[in-house]
Amino acid sequence: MKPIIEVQNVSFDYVGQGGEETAALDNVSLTIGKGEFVVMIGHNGSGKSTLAKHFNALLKPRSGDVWVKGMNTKEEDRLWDIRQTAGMVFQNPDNQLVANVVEEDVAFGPENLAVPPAEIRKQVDDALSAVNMTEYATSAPHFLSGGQKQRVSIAGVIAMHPEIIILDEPTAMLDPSGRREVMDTIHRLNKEDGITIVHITHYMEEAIHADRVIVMDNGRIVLDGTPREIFRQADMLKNIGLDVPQIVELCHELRREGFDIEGDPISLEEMVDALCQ
Amino acid sequence: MPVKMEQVTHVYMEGGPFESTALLDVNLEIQDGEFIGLIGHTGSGKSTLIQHLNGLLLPTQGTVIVNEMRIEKNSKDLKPLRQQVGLVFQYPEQQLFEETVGKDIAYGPKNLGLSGEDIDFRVKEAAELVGLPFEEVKDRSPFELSGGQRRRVAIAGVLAMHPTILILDEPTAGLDPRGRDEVLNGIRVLHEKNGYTIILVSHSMEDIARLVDRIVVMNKGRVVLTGSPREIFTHAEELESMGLGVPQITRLMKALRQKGMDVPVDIYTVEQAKEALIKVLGEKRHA
Repeated sequence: MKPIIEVQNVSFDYVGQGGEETAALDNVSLTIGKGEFVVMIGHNGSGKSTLAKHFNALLKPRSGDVWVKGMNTKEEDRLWDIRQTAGMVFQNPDNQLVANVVEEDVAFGPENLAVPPAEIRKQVDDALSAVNMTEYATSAPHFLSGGQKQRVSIAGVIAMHPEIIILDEPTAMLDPSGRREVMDTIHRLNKEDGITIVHITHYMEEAIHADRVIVMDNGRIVLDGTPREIFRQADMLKNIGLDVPQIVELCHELRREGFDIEGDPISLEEMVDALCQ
Repeated sequence: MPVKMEQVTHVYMEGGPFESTALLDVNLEIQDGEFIGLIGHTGSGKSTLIQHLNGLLLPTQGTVIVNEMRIEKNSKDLKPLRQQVGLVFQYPEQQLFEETVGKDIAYGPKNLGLSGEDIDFRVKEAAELVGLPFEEVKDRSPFELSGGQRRRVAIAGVLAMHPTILILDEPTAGLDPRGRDEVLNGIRVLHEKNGYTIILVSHSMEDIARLVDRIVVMNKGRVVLTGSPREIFTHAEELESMGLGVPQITRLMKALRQKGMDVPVDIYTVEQAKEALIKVLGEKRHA
């Protein structure tokens, strides 16, 4: 797999009011391949958002380097190329929609790139269709549900034709159907359009279908592997304030009671298969 | 009986072009000391409903009765009501503003005109109720604390007003699993040891399943279902059609049953599932 994000020995600290430095990233190295679906988990303050903000040059490393599609984020004159390559979606949908009409909001990015109007029309239509929001093109964003607003935010990023989408807890404020809508949308963009996804979440269930899970603690990457490999480390995850999906927990409990459960089921379907053998 | 809603309807922007009915003929009774889980998709009317319970919104029609106070369309003097019903909004830590944790919790009681001694007592008591190590944090800035701790400071600020009913709107949104457990355990203790009547609004069916006595389901401005978690989570299709869901464990049990395994379907926690599966899988055990 061709690398699309490369992080090499990156450290970063936030400076507090009294001038004291708090290490947010401590010598992190990481390569994300083109087309990967990566989920990042870690407790609040573990450094995952700080790391994610390095992926589109919202933050720059104090030491070390980050390359996005070969562009070093320290090169000022590549900033717009980098941000166009790696788009970002945040937690609160109400803070990132700027226009009074859905399609105008989605057009905001391409307009700022001075894309010709006819081309903008097409990009906006395509982007709304990619998130299944075409029928709301002329609605006002504040009349939409949380899940719909987040899909409009994602459409705004897609209209920029990014190769990477970074989502920082996009489901934290949503109801169950809103969460499903967002998760289905980003999985589809990953599979059908090959967009690289970096998804940050506190919902362990959202990591089950990822290609890869990265666990952060104290500014370092402490685990990096497939969801199955990661959730095998239940005790370690709990030690650093995280959790495992309920299915995994049930599987551990049953094993502790002396049952043989084949494989390491992490999803509901796998658990059903394992139990019905 | 602390809370009763009688045929409550609430219409936003009545008579205007954007008129919308957020509550429609809602009847609801909540007993003293009950722990209620209020669920419904975004826009189902949950927030409108809870804002009626402390008079932030007044009914367009109908009556809300809280601890014998009647609230109707033109009710005035809602102060005593607001003191009895503590409402913790979403992301309450965004409302912290004082220099220290102690001062922030003290803000409400101070405005009640209490004596310094009374205030100090209430502040300490409230901090301890939410499980904050008071001596350690009282002189620190709330902004130096972790997300879960900050949220508990905000909840303590509401408890310092000595409400009898505590309403929490999505108290765990955005918290990591440890922060979530800290906040939920704090709420559980308030209910079990201190007898608060609690209304918890949450999108997490797993959290609701673990904690509450009774679930109230809202859809399109109406209360459509109410019952114990066991009763409510047997309505999986209905909940899903309303944009909700059932805990993952409940879905697992249903799927196992479809495969012919004889497990009960009214199960919603890992612990219950373990017990049920031990019974059914007994012979596969190798110990």
